[in-house]
Amino acid sequence: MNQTVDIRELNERIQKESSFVDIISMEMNKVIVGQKHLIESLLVGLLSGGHILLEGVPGLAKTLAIHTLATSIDAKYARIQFTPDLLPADLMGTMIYSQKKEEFVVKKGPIFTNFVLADEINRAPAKVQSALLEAMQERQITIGETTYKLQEPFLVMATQNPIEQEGTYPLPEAQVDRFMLKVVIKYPSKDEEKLIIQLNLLKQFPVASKVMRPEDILKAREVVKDVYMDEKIQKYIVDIVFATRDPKAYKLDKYVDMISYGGSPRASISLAQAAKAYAFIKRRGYVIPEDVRAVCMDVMRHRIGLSYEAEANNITSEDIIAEILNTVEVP
Amino acid sequence: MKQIISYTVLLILLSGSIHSLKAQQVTVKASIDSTHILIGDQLKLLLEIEKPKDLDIQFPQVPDSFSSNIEVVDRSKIDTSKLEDKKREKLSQRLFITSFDSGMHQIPPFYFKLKDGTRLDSAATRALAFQVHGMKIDTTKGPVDIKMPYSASVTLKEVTPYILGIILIAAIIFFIFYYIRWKKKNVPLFTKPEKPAEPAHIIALRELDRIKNQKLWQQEKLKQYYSEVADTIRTYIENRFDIPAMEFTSAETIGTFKQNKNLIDENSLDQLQHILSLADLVKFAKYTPLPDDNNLTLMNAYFFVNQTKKEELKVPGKPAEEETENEVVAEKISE
Repeated sequence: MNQTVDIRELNERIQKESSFVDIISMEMNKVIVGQKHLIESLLVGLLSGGHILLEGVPGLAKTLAIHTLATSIDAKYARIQFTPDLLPADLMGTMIYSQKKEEFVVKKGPIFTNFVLADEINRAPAKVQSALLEAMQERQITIGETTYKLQEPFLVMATQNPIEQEGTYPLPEAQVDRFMLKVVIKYPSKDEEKLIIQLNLLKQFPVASKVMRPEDILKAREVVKDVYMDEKIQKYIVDIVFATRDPKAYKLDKYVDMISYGGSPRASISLAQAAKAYAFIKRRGYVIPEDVRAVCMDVMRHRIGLSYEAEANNITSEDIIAEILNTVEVP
Repeated sequence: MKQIISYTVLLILLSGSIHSLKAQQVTVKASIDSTHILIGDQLKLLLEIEKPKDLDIQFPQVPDSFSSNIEVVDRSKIDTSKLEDKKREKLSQRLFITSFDSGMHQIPPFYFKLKDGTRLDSAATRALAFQVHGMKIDTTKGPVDIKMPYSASVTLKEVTPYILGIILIAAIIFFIFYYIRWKKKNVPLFTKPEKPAEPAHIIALRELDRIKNQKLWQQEKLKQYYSEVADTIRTYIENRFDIPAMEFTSAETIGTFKQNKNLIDENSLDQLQHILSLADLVKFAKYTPLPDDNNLTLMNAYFFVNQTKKEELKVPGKPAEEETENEVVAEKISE
């Protein structure tokens, strides 16, 4: 009975704390037309502390969306254009000799910010990617002999486009796994595109207002952690992840030879965290299977290794996840 | 004197075609099925002996050719057959003979050797004759070309091995094909014909009865109670409407019914929505419903099943099934 009261209280708390979600969404909608899924995914990443990899052809407002989110939160924002000649020091910072002080001083790189937009991450060589991904994981950077904690909220949003693969350095599987979500952005609809034209023909392009502070995000993150997740939901998440590892056990024999490796425990953790954040966005104090299903594609699509057979048969990780969701029993 | 004459006549008669031993105890016979054949054609020569069962005999050893121009083409095994007199038996052998010389040919008598204890004897068949006719040549037409051999018509005996071979190959191909299909689909190679499935509503009502009798919510096992009620309804939907409700979330199931409005009426949809949303709250949000809600959920489940069940053909004269069932449900709930 007490637990019931807790849920009620939590629900009320979430109703109160999550009101900013609508405000941020509204601000973003002023600038971004459509892309509801992209905005929701950005919020899920923001609230669960997970980094996001955005994939889409050029011109789909990937950069604009991230910039708008940073603007509406009044957070520090840095955009780093990844190029083949980028060095880890360009990102992290380095020690430079100060003639005035006659000593080496630390020159912090652009990563010391709240929101990092790593534009076209796959254009930089592996050592730069590796340095960024390490910072993403550890949330700290060591320059010289000193370790610096990165300020919270710290969120990396990397973009890559699926075309023009020449001269790129595709992210290794182990590093892609560090991104909580991989969001694939699709083209807008006809009506949305018409609206985009109208918006861009205005004398002044709309700008998002600052409606939140970074501290509010940190507070919201604490509330997200309190969102109740029942054991049944946890089992559902485990079933989904296990189905990627052992499809045969879930009557998905046709994918046995298609999957070279399945989701890691990090996938299960990310799925649970993302589902909680999604429930929060939907202003609920508890997770329901819909929340898991809503974030499953973004959490899992980059964590399933496809075999040559799958590629030969044009089977994508999305196909496999969709089939898993249609097969695994919902609690 | 008369008696002597009649014995003499009888002896003369018996010493002709039928040679008998031990006064009518052994009878031997040789016969052919035709007396006129075309050159190269075959004749069937039948050798028979009727004898007491305890008498040892030896069939004549017919060589492959005899009488210099008669050839044995084939011969059967010695066949034994029963006679009316159970102490006697009949042995016979068929020989196929031919001749490639035209003219009259004699088949000499064949000798059966008999052994009665220590006494040896023999019985001979009658000699036979047959005429072999050559081809008539029309000399008036002058010399003609040599005719090529005629192709003999194919017999069943010749074709049978090929037919069996084809059947065997077809069977192997079928089994390979069936095995590959089985491997791909991972279904049993041979399956028993399935029993006709029970109607979905019968299974669902039985499950609801079981849940009701278990008195789960009365024992404060609310989560189990709502999970079982919801799962029963979801299984019923799956079986009744072919909607994969067990793999769908509540919203997806409701959404499917909303999209296909002809499946259930508005009232049933409300009942379903009530059952599933309340069950979700109990299952995932630790919600504790009122005792009335617990009863109402089960009642809604009964009504939902009864209102949406597939109607069976009613037998004329039988009372309306729905009415009686609704009464039963009402009784069950009031209990």
